[in-house]
Amino acid sequence: MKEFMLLMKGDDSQNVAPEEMQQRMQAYMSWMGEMTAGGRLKGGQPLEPAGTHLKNKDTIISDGPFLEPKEIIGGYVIILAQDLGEATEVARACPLLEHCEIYVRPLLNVG
Amino acid sequence: MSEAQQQTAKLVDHLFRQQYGKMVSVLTGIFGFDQLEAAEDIVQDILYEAYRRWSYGGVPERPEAWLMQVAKNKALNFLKREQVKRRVQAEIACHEDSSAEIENFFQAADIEDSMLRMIFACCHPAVAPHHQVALVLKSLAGFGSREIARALLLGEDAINKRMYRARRELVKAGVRLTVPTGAELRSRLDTVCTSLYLIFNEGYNSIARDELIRKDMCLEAMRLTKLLLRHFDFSTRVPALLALMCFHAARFDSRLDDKGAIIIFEEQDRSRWDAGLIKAGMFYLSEAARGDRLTDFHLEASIAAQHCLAPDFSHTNWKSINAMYEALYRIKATPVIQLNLAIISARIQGPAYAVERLLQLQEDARLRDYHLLYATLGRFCVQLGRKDEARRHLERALQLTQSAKERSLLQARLDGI
Repeated sequence: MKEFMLLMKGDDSQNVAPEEMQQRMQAYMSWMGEMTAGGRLKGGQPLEPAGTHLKNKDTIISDGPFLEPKEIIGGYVIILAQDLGEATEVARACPLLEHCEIYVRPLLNVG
Repeated sequence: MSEAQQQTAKLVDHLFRQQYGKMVSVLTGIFGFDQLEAAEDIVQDILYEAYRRWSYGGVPERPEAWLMQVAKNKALNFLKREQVKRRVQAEIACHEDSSAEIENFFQAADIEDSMLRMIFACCHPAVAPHHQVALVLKSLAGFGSREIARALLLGEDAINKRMYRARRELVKAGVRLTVPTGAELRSRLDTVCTSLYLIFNEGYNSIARDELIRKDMCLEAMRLTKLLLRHFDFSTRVPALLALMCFHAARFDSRLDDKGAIIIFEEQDRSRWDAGLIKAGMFYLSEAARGDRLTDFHLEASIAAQHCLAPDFSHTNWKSINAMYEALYRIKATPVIQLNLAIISARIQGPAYAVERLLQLQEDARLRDYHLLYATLGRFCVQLGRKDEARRHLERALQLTQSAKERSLLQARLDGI
């Protein structure tokens, strides 16, 4: 089994009504729950909405409340899968896809 | 771990929506009513934070307490920021011990008091009734603009405009966050009840396609009515309203078939009526009978109770229902009650008599374009074998209704002739 990182980009949930927010959360949690039960989930964390983006030594963009929601990386999870194809299928089942994009990237083992 | 799943199960349905109303009420109480929008923005942020944290880390042991703790911290930060920015007259000045004062607002009993103050402010007589409905749905029931728009069949822009106007009316009238006292309380409580009744009816009768959102509106109206009941036991109009809501809500699921088509009252499967809600309705109705005040809600609840108690449609006590409608008409002389009286007369004096009465109602400008008048006329004419007439009325009803569901019901009737 290899490790893959799923990067969630662009989540507009900040502005949806409370009920919908809860429904999105519950859908996501049950997806996470399934992955945990299947022994697939290695870890994951949400990211704070604010941060900085360094283009080079002198160009530093402050992310934050002024950034477009669709540009924000909301969080990541690390999963186990046989190959990229399987990892992609796992990501396809993620309910977040209704309102955000997901990058699936294999972790390169340098150990 | 299927721990995350177990934790999901622990989360109460509509928790976010219900906590939204509570937190907005508490924060507005602390900041002052003119800061309602700021309070709403902060609460939205709090829920978003919960959304992000709980999504990954699971729901905390006591989610409500978690939310309230975050709300407390955010309230303090807001006050500090405001005080630095401009020396506003917040209802609480932010000094050393303000955290203790803020703490008081978050005690369970005070949360309810904050909500009551909020209800009375939103349902102030200076605010137009349909604006009251929008305000209560947004600030107390935690509906989003898009949900309100969907439920009331209006555009989201129209709802936002309505909210804007409603808030302006509140500011212009200098409405304060207080529960009125003395003689004023009784009349203001009546206004609040009427507004909750409107919300319930919007949910119950709306032609919106979205069943879920309609039911949610009804449930929220019931939840807020229960809140009133816990605090104002002197008024029997409150339990009468709640009884009325219970009886109607009991029939909610029997009104549509599996494909979502309307089942008319006469043909509803009574075994699908919710016995628990009917029992609750009977309890509140007996509570409402304590005093000597007979209000519109008492009568409407009693009529609904008669329907719920009849073993089947043919055993309905029409004479009693007729008498109650007549009493109701004396309190609230609306054309729709006249329409109901005409419909009931078909059960007592026969359909030919009812058709005569209904035809007379056409002269009332408020009923002339009401599709149910013609749908009813059509139905009775079918019973009487007056086919051409029936066809004409049903076609008219078809033209007048906007609801796809009602249209398909009427079309089926027409095809059946």
